[in-house]
Amino acid sequence: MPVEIAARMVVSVASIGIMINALEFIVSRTQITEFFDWAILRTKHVWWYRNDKLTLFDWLFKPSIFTTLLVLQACAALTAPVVFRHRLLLLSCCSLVLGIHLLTHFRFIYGFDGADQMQTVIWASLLIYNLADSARLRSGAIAFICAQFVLCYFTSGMAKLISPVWRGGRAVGLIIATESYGSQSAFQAVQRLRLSPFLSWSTIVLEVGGPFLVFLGPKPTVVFLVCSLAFHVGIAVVMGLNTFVWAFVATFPAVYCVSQWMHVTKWLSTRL
Amino acid sequence: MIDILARIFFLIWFVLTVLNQFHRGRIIHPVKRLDVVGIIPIWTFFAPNPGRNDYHLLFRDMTIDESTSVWRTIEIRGRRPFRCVWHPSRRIHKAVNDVLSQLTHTNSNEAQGRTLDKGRLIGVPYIILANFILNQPHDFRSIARQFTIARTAGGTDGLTNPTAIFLSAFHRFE
Repeated sequence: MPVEIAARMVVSVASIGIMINALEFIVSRTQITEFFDWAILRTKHVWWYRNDKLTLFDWLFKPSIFTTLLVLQACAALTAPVVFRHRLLLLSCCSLVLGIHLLTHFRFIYGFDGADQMQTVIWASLLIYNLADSARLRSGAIAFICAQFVLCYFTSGMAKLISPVWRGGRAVGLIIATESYGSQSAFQAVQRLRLSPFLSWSTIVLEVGGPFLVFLGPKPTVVFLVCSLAFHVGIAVVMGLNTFVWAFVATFPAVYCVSQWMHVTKWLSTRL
Repeated sequence: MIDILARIFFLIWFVLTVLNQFHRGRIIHPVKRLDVVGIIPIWTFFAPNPGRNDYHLLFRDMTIDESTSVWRTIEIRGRRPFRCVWHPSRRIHKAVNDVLSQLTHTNSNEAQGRTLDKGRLIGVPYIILANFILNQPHDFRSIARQFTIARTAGGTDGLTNPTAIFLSAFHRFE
């Protein structure tokens, strides 16, 4: 898969995630801004607050202005895949998406998750992809997305592997028993069929072992990515973490692209 | 030039990400304080301690004769049938959970049964909560409001065994 095709696919999928994110923010803005009053939160940005440098942000975070920024972000995300071949337009779209994404984090501080973090990685990498003059740097930007994806899975898996709750097979049952991240029907099904140990260990194996498949070439990588897709769709259905699907699936073209270069067995067979 | 700067940027970002996965990294803590936009990710999802509790916000009012009302819940968690596709309440719910976790995270003094760190009362998590709760509608006879954070474990008997893990003082309405 050529780097350009991979980048285009990354943009297309990540854009959907950003649009959903922005629209969800717009719909729930009253409740969120009511709870997370900027007048209070601004005091958390200590350096800026003490040096009286928050005036611009006070204006940007006025409800009408901020809503406009979110609409702008959604439009930029919608436009990015369409203008992929126009470097300046794509650069503008990526800058807008990333800039407003980071601004949102600055405004609210709380409530951000792994999907938001992965979107930051993706759009920052895409920005550099666009700024790059060399094919090498463009490949590097795609490789960086893959590297963060691999690190994410491996770290998450290792953190579970060292946990007695996860190793004991109880973790999935405990999580989906909560109102926050589970549902009664899923909980009852897992209880009845005693699926918690299987699901807990499947998660550990996928997250710890899956990244190594990237080094074995494209075909094992596809197996890993299909399992990963099923994992994220399952999480979205049971736990309501809808944006994870888009943020992580957006990295798949980058991971597949890199797996074609990181083909360790092929490298070994040419040397032995 | 852009090439070199970009490579250095990617390298530093990746190294900082790796360091951030080890919460005790001395190098990372000063950098994290500067990270006001959350650019350094943490990838340890639901691990090593999986989230197994729900937090609930409740409040009651005091009237002029110092009698108190019943505890009332603030419902933040919305349930929608297609939340796997569209889930706007996810954000506020996660944010509230983050605030409650910060507020109720016990430090070593508190864990040993000593007094609540009074610094919490002027911390941003407490002020955000107090501000939000005090702005909820109240009866004209109410003069003050108190809130509590209750924790329930999931499962079929979770809601019958709530534990109050935080109780505020009464705050007067302005």
